[in-house]
Amino acid sequence: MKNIKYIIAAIIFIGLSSCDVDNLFTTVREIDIPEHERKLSINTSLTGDSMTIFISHSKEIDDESDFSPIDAKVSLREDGNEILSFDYNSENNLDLIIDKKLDEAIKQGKEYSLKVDSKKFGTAIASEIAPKNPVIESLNFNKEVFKGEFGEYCKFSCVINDEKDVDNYYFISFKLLNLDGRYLEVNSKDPELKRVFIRSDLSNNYHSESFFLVSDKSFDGNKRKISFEIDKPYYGNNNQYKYKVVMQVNSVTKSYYNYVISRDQALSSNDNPFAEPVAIVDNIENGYGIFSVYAYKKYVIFEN
Amino acid sequence: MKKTLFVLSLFFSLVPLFSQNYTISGYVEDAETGEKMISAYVFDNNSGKGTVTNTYGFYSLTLPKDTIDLKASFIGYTSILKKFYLNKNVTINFKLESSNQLKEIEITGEKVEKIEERTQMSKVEVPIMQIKTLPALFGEVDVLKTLQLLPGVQSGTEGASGLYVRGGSPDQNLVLLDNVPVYNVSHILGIFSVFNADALKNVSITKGGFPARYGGRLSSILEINMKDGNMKEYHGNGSIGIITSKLMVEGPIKKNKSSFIVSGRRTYADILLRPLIRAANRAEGNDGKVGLDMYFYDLNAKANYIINDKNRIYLSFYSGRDVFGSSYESPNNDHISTFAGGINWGNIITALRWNNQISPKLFMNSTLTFSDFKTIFFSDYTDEYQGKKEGFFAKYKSGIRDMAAKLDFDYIPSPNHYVKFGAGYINHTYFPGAINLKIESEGFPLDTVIGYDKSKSSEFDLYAEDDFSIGQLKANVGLHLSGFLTGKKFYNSLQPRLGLRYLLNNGIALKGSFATMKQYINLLTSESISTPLDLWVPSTEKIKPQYSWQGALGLAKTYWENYEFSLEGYYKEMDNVISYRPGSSFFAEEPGEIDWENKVVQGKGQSYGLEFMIQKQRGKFYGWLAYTLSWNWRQFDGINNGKKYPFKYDRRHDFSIVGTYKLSKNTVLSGSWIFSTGNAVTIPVYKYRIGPGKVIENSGEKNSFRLSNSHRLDLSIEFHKKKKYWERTWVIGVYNAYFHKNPFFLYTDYEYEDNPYEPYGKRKRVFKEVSILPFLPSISYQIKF
Repeated sequence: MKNIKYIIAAIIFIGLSSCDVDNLFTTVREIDIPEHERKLSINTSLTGDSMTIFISHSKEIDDESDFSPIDAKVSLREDGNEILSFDYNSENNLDLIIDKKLDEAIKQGKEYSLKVDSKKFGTAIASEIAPKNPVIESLNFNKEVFKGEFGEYCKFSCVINDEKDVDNYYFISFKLLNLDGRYLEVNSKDPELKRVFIRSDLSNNYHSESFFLVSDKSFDGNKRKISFEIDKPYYGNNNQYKYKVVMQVNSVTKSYYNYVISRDQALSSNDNPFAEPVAIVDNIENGYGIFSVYAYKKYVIFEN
Repeated sequence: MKKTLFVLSLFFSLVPLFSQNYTISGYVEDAETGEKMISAYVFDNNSGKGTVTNTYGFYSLTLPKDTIDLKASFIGYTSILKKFYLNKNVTINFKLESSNQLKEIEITGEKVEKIEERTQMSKVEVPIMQIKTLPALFGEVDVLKTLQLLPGVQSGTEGASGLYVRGGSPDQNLVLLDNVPVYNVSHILGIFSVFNADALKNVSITKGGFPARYGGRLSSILEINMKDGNMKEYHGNGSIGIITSKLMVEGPIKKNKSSFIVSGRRTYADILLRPLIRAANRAEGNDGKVGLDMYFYDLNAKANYIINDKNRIYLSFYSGRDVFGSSYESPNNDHISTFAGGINWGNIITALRWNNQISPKLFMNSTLTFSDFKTIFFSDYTDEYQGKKEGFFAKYKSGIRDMAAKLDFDYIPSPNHYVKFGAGYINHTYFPGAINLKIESEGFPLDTVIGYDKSKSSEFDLYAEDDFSIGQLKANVGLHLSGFLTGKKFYNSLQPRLGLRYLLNNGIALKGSFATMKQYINLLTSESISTPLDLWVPSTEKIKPQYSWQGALGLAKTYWENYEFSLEGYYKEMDNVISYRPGSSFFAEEPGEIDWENKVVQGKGQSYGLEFMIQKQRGKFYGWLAYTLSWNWRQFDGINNGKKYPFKYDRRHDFSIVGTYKLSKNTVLSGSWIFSTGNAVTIPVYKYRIGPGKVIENSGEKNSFRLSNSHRLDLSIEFHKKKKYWERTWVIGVYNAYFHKNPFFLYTDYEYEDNPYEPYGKRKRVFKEVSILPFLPSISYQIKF
């Protein structure tokens, strides 16, 4: 046992000599990334008598090469009957967005199925039931200007009359028209209203919209008043510019509601290492993205 | 109170009148120190009946009028046999002598209560002397890290002290130090536990089959008892290590009547680093004064007083705190700017206990406790110019404070029945995170509090259980009733408990248990990282109490007198477990998120598995081998699209082998080797375009990726030597002896293929595991006097 001290010293020596001294306390090791099967990614919005579609594909997280163009056949069915079909080819324009007019407006309660067929990335499908138009009972814009902590604002409220025993989801947006580049700040103290900071990926208007989501879980079948505080959009002479504030209330599907919530959570927690990770949920089978079918009503709530 | 005791005494003393039995009662203690012994075995060789001592060393054995061969045994001590004729109630106190001069080195002893004789399953006791000999990170002996080596008990990330028991989270462990709940069990973000082994007497963990006396948490009960202090002589020990130094002193206040123990531990990295940082600051030409605080400390103290043969009081105290902060004072012409910031957190715990032996068969313990856990995070800036002072002060404060009272009774009417009953009340006060902002300025003075002020809740429990035997069947049947008043909402729960043991003809015990548990307080913590900023919050009208039920089946047997084998399978379901919503964290992203209730979701948990253990507690070599095969799931609305997913610490395999071997009279070698499946993590695994210029990175299923498996060998060797006035020990150890890169966390980065330092070339996304604990040698010098 006299030698035990030497044995210990030898172990320490071997151990220390095997260390990378520069990185003694922090050793970084690259790991294999899970394999990924490439699939189509689709962003489609279907409302009224128009459909807008953008198609691309997924790829491995570590692949920094350009995305490939898409050559695919698109078809739209209403309760199983094809109502629209066309080719999508982004060979010359990877940012291709196609707007299509339908022969008739979509009908509430009907099932709409989207099928995108690509030789390279397989076939992706999605189905949604078209929601009913939202029922807005009243709008009340109070022109009186209140002074808030961060500026002046006006009060606005609307009453939604919700249909009973149906899971309804409302997406409410406010838009400022005719004042390009100005951001319209709209707030709400309503605890059930979820403010989101994302916007349609198919639109180019970045700065002039505010978005809110609400589910009818707590007011199913009842009237629900929702109040907002709308900041004055322009702090100069109010009469100098003509502008409008437009509110759009969209009835959206559950999957779109979940998609927007998860996408917003992912974006807002991106830089927070303490935040719980967020998986974006979507409604495309054998693919990624969102097929949104919605109905809406639009109101000019203020005009200068 | 006296009347109640009188009635209880009368009732229980009448019971023996209906039989021809007499009661032998008393205490078992260490002859050398007077310490009362927990779970010592007292056994009558003639009748084959026996019992074990309770937490206070008390035993009671009622036997028929006859000749008695009464033997008291305890691991590491020489048994004592007393022969007498039992024809009246008698008091017999046993004073056991250590069976070895260096009892820390070799654990010996005779008959102890075997695993197959106990009704209780899913409970493991680890002798403190074994914990103290095992190799440890930086040579710092750690009770919780030792428990992580047991089956069914998992660590979180490498090097951390958190315990994940049978699929539960750390807040589901009730950690009791002398019967007082400890809310924060670790120092330095979980690297060291707050329990200083020098001051401890006993450690046990119960993972399932909870007897009715336990409640308030879903997953485990960790009982830690402090030493009482030497009743005979003054003794102490101290050590100097690379991280901390420790000193423990114990002795009689009045010989054989009262004693004390005081134990302290402190790190000293700040003392060593402060002059270096100041020198570096001066070398850079800065005139400012630099301050640095970077330490933790623990102080344990306990005193006890024997009033008479039947009454004894204990007063115990613990205070521990982590302090991290820095300050900088910069004189600049007429200006003096001062910045100070930091974080500190810790517990203060006190308990006053009164033991009263009401009758030979009835023992009472009453406890009054106070527990306070507080975290303070602050950032101050002041600027002084021509006598005028302006400043900004921000302070974040959170914590939980408990005041509790408890009454526990042990009633042992016969060797076939051991009844426990009692009641408890806890008053919780929560400080769930308030930020005090103060600005001292002529132009913009401000003094405001953002967040929540304190809130209160009340929790009570009542319980009764009987551990009884009928032939080869032993059972522990009990009921636990609990209630919780929070705001205007009152929750209550009746929890049935059952433990069964049937001894088969071949000596193998077949064990089964069922327990339901309810938990009224929650730790709001991120699955990504645990910090002192984690909040203890109550159940509310909106947040329902956590609930679980657990069933377990197992086999147990002792082979060759000394090797305990156990095999257990368990299934546990949990409801209303809590998690942050996706994207949420301690930091509020929106005004609405200041309210913690809006940031969490409640869901379900499920875990099941198989645990195997061989343990040898005595001899030249002692240790254990443990293996756990387990599955652990969570399911929440709003997380992972409502689908169930593996919990972060879902580990398919956990294996550990732990051993201590006495190489020679003065040399002890210890080692442990662990293997565990990698933690489940969520990482982005693919990306796709969703619109022009819009690329989404997505993770797919939550926790669908695994970090690499971990394995590690730790070794230590002790060299003891008797000096004239003391005994000295050199302890040399190595953590992670073969330098395996165990993952601590994962991060994502870009690598540039053309030129690693030029961020404009062709790049590649990479994921990197970071391991922070390489081969770490340690050395410490200990003295015992």
